[in-house]
Amino acid sequence: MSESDIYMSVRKDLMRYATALVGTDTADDVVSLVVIRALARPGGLSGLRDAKQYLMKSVLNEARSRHRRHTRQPVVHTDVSTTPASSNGDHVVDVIASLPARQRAAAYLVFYEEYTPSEAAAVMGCRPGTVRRYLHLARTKLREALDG
Amino acid sequence: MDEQFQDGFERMLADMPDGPTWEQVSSHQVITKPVPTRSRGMLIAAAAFIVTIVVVGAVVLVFDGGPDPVAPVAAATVDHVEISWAQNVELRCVGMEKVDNGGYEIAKIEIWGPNTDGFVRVDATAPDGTVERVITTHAPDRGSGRQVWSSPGLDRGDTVFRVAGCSTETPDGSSHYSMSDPPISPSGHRFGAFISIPTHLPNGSPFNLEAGQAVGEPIGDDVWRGVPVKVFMNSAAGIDELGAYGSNSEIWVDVIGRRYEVARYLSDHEVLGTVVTSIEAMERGTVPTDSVSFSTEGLNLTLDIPPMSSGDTASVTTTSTTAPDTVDAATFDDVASIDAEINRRRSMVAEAQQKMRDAEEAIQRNKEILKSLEAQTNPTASQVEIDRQRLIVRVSELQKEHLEEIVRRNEAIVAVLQAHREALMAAERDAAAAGAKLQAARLAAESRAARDAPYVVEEPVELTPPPPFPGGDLASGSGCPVGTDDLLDGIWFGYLIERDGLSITFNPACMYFGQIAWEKAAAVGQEANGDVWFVDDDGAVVTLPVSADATAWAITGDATEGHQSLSFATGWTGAESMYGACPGEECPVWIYVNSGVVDAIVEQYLP
Repeated sequence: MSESDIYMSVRKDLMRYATALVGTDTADDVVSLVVIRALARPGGLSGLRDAKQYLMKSVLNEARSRHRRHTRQPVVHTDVSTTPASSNGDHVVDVIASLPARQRAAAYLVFYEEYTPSEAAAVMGCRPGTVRRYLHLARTKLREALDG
Repeated sequence: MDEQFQDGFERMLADMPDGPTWEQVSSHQVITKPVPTRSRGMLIAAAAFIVTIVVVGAVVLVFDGGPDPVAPVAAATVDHVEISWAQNVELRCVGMEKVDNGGYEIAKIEIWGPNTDGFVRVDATAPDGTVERVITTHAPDRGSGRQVWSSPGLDRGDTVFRVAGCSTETPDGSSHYSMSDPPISPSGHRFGAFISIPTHLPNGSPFNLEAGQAVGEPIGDDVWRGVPVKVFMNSAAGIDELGAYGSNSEIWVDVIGRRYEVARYLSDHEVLGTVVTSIEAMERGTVPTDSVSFSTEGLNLTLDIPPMSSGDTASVTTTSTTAPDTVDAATFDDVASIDAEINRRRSMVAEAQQKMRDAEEAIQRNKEILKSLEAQTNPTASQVEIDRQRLIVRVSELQKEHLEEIVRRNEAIVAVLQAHREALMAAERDAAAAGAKLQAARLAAESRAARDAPYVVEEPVELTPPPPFPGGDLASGSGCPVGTDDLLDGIWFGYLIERDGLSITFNPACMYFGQIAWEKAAAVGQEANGDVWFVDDDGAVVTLPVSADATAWAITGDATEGHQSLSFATGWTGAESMYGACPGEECPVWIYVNSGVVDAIVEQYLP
């Protein structure tokens, strides 16, 4: 496969993953950056044993870096009691958006992409038990948010 | 709960952009990043560099030697793809999309078919002689391009032979056209589907219709029956109707002789991976289409055999179950609920095993009846009756297979639950032991002055991490603590996940800095980000006591002012952190552990 074939075959997957991790505004940037970095490697995309997994790992790394940089900005907390009630679905989105990057990644891969914890662990570069812990934390946070 | 996550992500992805095109990513020049020297200035510079990229929203780097990774692909020796078909359809070449640097384009081919339901077979011959065959329905009443059956990958929607485009070749008049033909849109034909044929698949097309297909003959169900077919639904809705899990799902249609079809629904979902369901198909009108139903949900299987004569009311209905196909062990948080689920599963296994025995008896009984029918020389024993008896035998066999699957599945689930139960019990034991240890350590920590405390923070605190201690694996500080359940005294990096009074939950991680960071990252095919590289591949956490007079060093503002010293007990809340996420999964700190007690917590600057 050519470099372009490889990229086009994984672009949607990368975009979904990046969007889930950093949102629609910067998903393009994240994907661009990780692909360009990969292209700069000796052998480029073609030289990767598993280009999709490599790029998805890179997306998570980049998302985590951006998350750290982003949270350096002053955090503005919205008083939900004074804002119009949003739908439950919106609330869920808010909770997901508030999850740390790795929890969000685990939740996305398992709940949305329907990876097994082992598959998600391979993408995230951690152990299946770690993925399960992230899922547990994510579930707990969502449950608390919805109950609270 | 899990469905809410799924729904939440659906919402988040509703407005997902298409993403950068190949031209956009391939047109950027790139650099091989130099390995920076370890310095505070370098860290800040690297951070500023990346932040600049973020702010600008575009990635423009500078080429700094090395081969161009996106050199144009070699030109193909043949410049078109030939499309041929046998049915009453017409193809038109529409729109082209430039996809690589070689000057070739993707051609989108529209299939226009008669204004009736039906199938069309299309062969596409690549420049290298490879032939891909596509079978697609042209069902204009149900909308265009709803279903394309071909090689894996089509459910993603794609187009044909990337190295070929519409050329200038003209039709030869014998139903062979190149993709270069101008649009053909005769009256009476309506748009049917796009075809797209990935060329990268090693297994090629699964279709083989040669035996039953003549040129000009319409393709119907019966034509390809008898040939193993892998069917890909390109409609997520269509897959969902069959109880599938989404885009990762596949539906296999296999053929057992010419009599029955068994559809095998494969899912990569969680433990079991494979869910099998059976579909009885009609044969020679013995079973009308509307009497057959199937669903993978709960492995229901129902097939009513209609009466063959006015006096015949026999029917067979297979056992159904509403048991979930899989179990997520992580949803069981306590041993009691696991035990209840294990008992429930075991009951299901026992029940299914009993039914299997009943089914086996039915098989033998009906085989005897079949045998006697086949042995009869009485002309009143019609072929229809024999066929019907065969069908009854086959249904019993399928029912037994179905029950075997239930047993296998539930036994696997019980095994998973038992493993999870063991893990939970072990965790409870560990937690009890950790609590006792914590209390003992807290008592010992009452006076730090009375303890030997070699690991202290030397002011001023640098933004760079502590140097690697001798004898370690070059991880900064005391070494790489990942994989250890018990942190010894030392200076350790990790994430301060939670705080509870004078104890913390800490996720140890390994931090490599500078040259070693690049080497460690390169070892796993990645790059150090801003001169640092982390290893945190076990996710384990430890709970540690913090001394009452422990100091927390928080990085405030823009990091140019260094650390601010606070009392952990009374002054540090975490809100001071420049990351705004302390404590939390992404709160990077160093902890200074003396005599098993944390005496200092130093926030780590990360670019």
